[in-house]
Amino acid sequence: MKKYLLYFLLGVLGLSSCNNLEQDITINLPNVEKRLAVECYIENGKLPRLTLTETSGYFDSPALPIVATAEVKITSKKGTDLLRFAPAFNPFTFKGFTHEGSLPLNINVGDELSLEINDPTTGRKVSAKNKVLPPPAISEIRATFNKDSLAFLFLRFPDNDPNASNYYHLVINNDSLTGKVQTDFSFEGRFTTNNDVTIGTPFRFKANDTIIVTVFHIDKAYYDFLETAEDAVSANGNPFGQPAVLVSNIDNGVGIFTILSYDRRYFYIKPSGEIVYFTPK
Amino acid sequence: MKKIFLLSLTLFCLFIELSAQNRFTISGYIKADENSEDLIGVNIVCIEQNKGTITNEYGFYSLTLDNTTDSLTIVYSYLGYSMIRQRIKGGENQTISHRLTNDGKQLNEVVISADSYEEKINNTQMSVEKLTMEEMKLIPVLFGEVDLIKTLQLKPGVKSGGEGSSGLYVRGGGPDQNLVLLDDAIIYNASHLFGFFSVFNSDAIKEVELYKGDFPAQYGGRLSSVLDVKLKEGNKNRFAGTGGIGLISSRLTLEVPIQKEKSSIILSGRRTYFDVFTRAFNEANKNSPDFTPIPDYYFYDLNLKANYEFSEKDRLFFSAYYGRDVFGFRNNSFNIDFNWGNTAISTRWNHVFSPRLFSNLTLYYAGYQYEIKNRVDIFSFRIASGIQDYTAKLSFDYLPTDRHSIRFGVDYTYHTFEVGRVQGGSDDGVVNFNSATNLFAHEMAVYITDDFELSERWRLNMGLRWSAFSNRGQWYQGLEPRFSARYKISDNASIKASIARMYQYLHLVSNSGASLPTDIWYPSSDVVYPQISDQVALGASITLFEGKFLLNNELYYKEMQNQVDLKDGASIFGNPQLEQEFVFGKGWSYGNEIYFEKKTGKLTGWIGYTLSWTWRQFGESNGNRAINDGSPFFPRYDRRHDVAVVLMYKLSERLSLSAAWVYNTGNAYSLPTERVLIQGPPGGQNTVVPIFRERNGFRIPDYHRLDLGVVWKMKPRKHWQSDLTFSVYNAYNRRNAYFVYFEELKDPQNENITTGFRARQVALFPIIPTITYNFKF
Repeated sequence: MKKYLLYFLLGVLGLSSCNNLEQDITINLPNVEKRLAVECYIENGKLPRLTLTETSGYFDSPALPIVATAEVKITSKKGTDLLRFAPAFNPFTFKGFTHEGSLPLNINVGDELSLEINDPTTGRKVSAKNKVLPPPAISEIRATFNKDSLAFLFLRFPDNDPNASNYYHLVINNDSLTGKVQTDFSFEGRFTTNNDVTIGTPFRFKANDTIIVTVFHIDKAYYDFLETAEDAVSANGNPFGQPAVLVSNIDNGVGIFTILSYDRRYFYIKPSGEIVYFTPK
Repeated sequence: MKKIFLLSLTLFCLFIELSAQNRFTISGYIKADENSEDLIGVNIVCIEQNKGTITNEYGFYSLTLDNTTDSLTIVYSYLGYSMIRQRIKGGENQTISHRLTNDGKQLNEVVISADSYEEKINNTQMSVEKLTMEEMKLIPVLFGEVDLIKTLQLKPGVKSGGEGSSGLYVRGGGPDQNLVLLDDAIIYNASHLFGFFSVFNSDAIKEVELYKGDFPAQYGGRLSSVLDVKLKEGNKNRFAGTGGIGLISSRLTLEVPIQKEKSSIILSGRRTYFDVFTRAFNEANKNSPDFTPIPDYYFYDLNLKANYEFSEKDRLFFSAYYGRDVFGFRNNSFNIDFNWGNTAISTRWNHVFSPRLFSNLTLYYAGYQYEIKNRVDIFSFRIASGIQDYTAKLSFDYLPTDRHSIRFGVDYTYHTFEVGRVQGGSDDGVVNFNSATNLFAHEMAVYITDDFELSERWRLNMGLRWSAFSNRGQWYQGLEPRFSARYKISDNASIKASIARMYQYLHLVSNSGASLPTDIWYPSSDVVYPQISDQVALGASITLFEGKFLLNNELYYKEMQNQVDLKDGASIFGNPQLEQEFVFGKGWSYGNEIYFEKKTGKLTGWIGYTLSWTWRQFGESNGNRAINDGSPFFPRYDRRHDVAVVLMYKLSERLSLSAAWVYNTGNAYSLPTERVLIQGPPGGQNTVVPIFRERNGFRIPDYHRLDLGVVWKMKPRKHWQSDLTFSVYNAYNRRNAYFVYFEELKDPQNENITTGFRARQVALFPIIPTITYNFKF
């Protein structure tokens, strides 16, 4: 919204064509202590994988500062798994990780997992905890085409617990989970109709496109991380943005350690608007 | 304690009445002859007894003199108008009203202000800036839009939020800490176009006063300043009009006498026409594949004022303002309507009970609302928020002797708030939710102030305001002492000191660095305490070179308690539990303001310089993390040095030149010192997330700019006068940084590969020449 305002202002004032309004500037940034940065999304029945890097000075080399010497442990009620350093990168999805567990994690709703990382070369230690939340259950997806043959989606699912604050993260991709992101936002499920959370999208989907809708049930810590990360990104280059400090659930570090709990649907839309679900290969 | 206070008050009044037994009073209204408008601040002096007064904001005066059998000379003077000398005889109270005519000699010069230097030296009031339309219309401005707030930003102690902004930041206060009054009614959001233009149509304004400190006791409810704008009453003698055609807007004002010299009506309107151009541009480019349409946007203001004089003792005024910003965005996948604006309607009744007792009753409604609407197929969605006030104010001016000028009164406001309204619905009923917090609050105040001339050299202004606020059974109240003293060193020099406490019960919730229409007004509650400020100021004024120049210096220190900010990652859109997002803290500011002015002669203008510091500190509070780790930080608008040089030169009867140069330290600014790469659960969404550690720990480069203006009056015709106003904004085309950002550099061969990072600065306005055609009939 705020970025829209800026573009709008420049557009309306007829100045967007004045490209020399932008120029390089020299900024001397202070040297700050580098902190461990963790990104770990646990999924039931899958091998735990984690990316461990450290924060970089803004003008440092763009190379990813991997921390190879750290000891990484994830503890569940079934025991502790020492993750091995096994950096891997998928050039098709651009997803990488640095550490991998030895066994798939089988977890149930309510289970707690804890993460401990110790980097003996620098003495840095970080830790985090997270609980398994119940997944949401999408009850309806509806598509409606406009005169330009673009469809909007309407989806509905019951709020997980009407007596508590529940947070959700909605992602809609085209083609694959790493395909074009059409919608990506997180929200608190406070606006409900008969306890159903309802969400609509703009008109942007075409007939026969493969669409993947994922609704994550997330905890407050992950919600705050997503929101503050978005605010921080939006504040860089937006004069109306108030910079946010990245809120993290990693003690003494930055990043996120969370357990994914979601409902996901694969489908395409017939020109009539009918939704056809399928299971991916 | 209460009994002692009441007894003292009674004895005080009795003493004043007894001492008035051997005196008589002259009183009346002073108006401009050409249109019968009340003149504010006219000097009325009795030569023989060396006593004087000035007209109040309704043009009324009352001067009590010692009874004598000799005749006395009364002089009525007002800069730019012919002086009137009148001989009167003592004895009984007399009503003497006058109409002052424009002084032909003065017409060859630029006449800037109604407030004489003599008054500045004599008055106890300090920390006040006054503007008249003549001043505003001569100063070159962005896009040729005469803007009173941008003119005030050229005065010491008053800062803008940034390039082109019409926000007011007074002595370290935020934009929500200004009490903005239009004919006594509050304007909650005084800007259009996200803060680039103010809501005041220059053609409808009569006078503007900005109090930066030493607040008179009748004002309350905000911490940092009072902007009191009075609208013109309208020509009571003949049908008249003014208007202008500018680059981005046009305006028209019509003044119609209803009953000659007794009543009139004035109607004023202004509208921008960005939307006309952008629609044409969109239509011309609609078939271009990569074209993104520019949203429709326009704003307009409507002012209406009517007045009627029932008799010498009773007058009625009716004022109304309605302004809206209208924003519409439509393309084939998305549409949204967004509008916001203020409404203010006030009725005032002046009654003269006796030559020494003048009263004013004001009833007003004021409201501010924003609304965002969206409809897709059978689904509709609406976000709204707003505040509405219903206010009654009764004030009395009691002038028992020539030494005392007492004002007392009572105010009451019923506030209603709609916080975070979110409505969703569908024609089939599958979607139906409506969430909002509706709050109601009562705000009230009682005040008394006495401007007391203790001796030739000493003059005191002692005021006390008691204010209270109630919201959902939670009461707050407080005493707000206001005190100022003047010591006159000589006829052309005085020193002054003041102390003022202010309470602010309403808080503006904003998650942006600038004022946006979506900011929300929120009342004090059991969680949110009232903001309190204490300000002390010390000043000296001296006139130089036979009264042609004024040099003024003021030092100030201000502390602010219970400041409100938002936690990191706060959500204010449609949030009915807004209080949970707040963090509480304190602020303080201090500085020195120097002002050197010349306001008569062919060359007029001023030089203002402010040296100041402003701080905020927010610790862990309300269950939320501290801001900036609890350490003090500069708000964005903290500026160490702020200089304004404004010059106006009347080359001939028809040609005036003007120039304004401003320089200030760059705004405090937050920049990330580190970054981290976040991939997201599936990958494919690699995002560089900046890490901000210190709030506003950097400065953008210093700002300076020169604006030039020429007003060329065309040859006047019988009932038609017109001029062409040329202005050049940013004459030497400096690229002042509006903001700074860090850019990720990509490999041109492969957009997925980052090759480095660099810092960029963005300027908003290059050199902008403008021409405006203004007319008057």
